[in-house]
Amino acid sequence: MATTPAGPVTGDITLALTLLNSLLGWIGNLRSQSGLTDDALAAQVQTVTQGNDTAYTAMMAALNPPKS
Amino acid sequence: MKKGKWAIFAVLTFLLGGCADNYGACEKAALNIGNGIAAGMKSVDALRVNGTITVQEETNVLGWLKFANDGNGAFASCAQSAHTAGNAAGAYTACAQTFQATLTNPTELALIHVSNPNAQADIQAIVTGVSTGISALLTGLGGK
Repeated sequence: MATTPAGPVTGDITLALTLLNSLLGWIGNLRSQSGLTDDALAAQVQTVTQGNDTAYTAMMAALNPPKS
Repeated sequence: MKKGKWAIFAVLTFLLGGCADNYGACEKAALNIGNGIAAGMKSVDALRVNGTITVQEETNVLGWLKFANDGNGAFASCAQSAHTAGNAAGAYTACAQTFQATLTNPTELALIHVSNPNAQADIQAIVTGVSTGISALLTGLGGK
């Protein structure tokens, strides 16, 4: 585990702003921005959410390794 | 400058009024939110790696992000069901409102508090980003 508290993570605020812009950006473009059909978009959502579940599980395993 | 602001307002009003494809809008919003949550997970992990937050704090915040991700998946399924069922009036709004209500669960929100004020601001920005996305969606749907 790292020990020295640091200042703000470089680029983290930028990430948050990018996230906000990304979330709001669809208003103007709706699905035409992606060029995908609605059902293809739905399939992508499924892939992304499942990927996040996998990332979460991997991070939890790394954070709390089994005690031998 | 003032003129520019009015121009943006006019464009937004036009676009919000023109949200005809509610299913596509919901799925696009869910995709953006899912990608935002993935970015948020990486960001929170970086905060722990550089020592800004503790392992326990990362575990808690990741717990909230997982909770939000589950809610997002449920929202996408809800929108898909509304689409399959024939786009009943108010169905998409009901899906989004349920998701928004889920995110305000106080037990889950308690997970996002960390001791470092800089990290707290960063994490709050991520959480607000998810919430803002849903609010924007609800505005765009206009009750449909």
